[in-house]
Amino acid sequence: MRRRAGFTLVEVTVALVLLSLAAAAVIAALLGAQRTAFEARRLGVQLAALENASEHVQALQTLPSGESACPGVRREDYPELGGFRCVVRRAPGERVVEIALLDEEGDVFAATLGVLR
Amino acid sequence: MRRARGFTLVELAVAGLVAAVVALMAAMLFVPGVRMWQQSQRLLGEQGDYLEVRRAFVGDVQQAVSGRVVRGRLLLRRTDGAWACYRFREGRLERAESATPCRRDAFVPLTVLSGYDGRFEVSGAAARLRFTRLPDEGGLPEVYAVSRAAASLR
Repeated sequence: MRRRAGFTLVEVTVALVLLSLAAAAVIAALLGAQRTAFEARRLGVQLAALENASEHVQALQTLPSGESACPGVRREDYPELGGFRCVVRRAPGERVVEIALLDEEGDVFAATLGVLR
Repeated sequence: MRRARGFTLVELAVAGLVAAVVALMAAMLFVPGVRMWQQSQRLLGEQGDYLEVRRAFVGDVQQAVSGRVVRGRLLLRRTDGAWACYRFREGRLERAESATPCRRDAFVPLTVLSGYDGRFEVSGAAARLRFTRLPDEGGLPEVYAVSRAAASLR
């Protein structure tokens, strides 16, 4: 007896499962790309905050005695960084300050050095 | 008797139903997937534009001996005697560098993406660029720079 041509239910199911897995892999890759893009933006904003703070520090006349808020850096201008704080501290060296971005727990997550005029 | 070749109505209906379900699932995955991809591309493009704008703007302002905003355009005279000019035009930020201020044929786009708008400010020795519109939702921080060559740009 000749076998009837066509796909069995098992074959169709296996094909659908494979297609679903491939689709899930594509979506996972796209989500990864999107996450990377958001992370790149956050790092770009972080860099901008530090560089803008460093430029604002140029206008300081005197070195801060302890720790003070960064001049000209407002939290609402950098929403990607969440509830961060920017502080200026005296650093070793003449007219050199450390500009640090602190997270909500007070830990430094990015820092740079600035020089007063 | 040999059976006639072809599909029965039930077979066609089942095949059509399965094809419709597969197509629907593919569309449900494809459309958000394409949106995610486009958003990622815009975000990365914006970031690239921002870094390029920042590099040029900060470099020009740091070398500037004078600067002013005229009809929405920023004019900076640099220590080497050249003029750097910035303007927003057709959604792009453009920069011109020439011996005379803002020569029309000297403008070249600094941004790859389109959809930007913004304004310039000069105060004291500092110049500031704020974006008021972007190709994507969200925001980009201002670009702020202080001249190293002059106590005041005015």
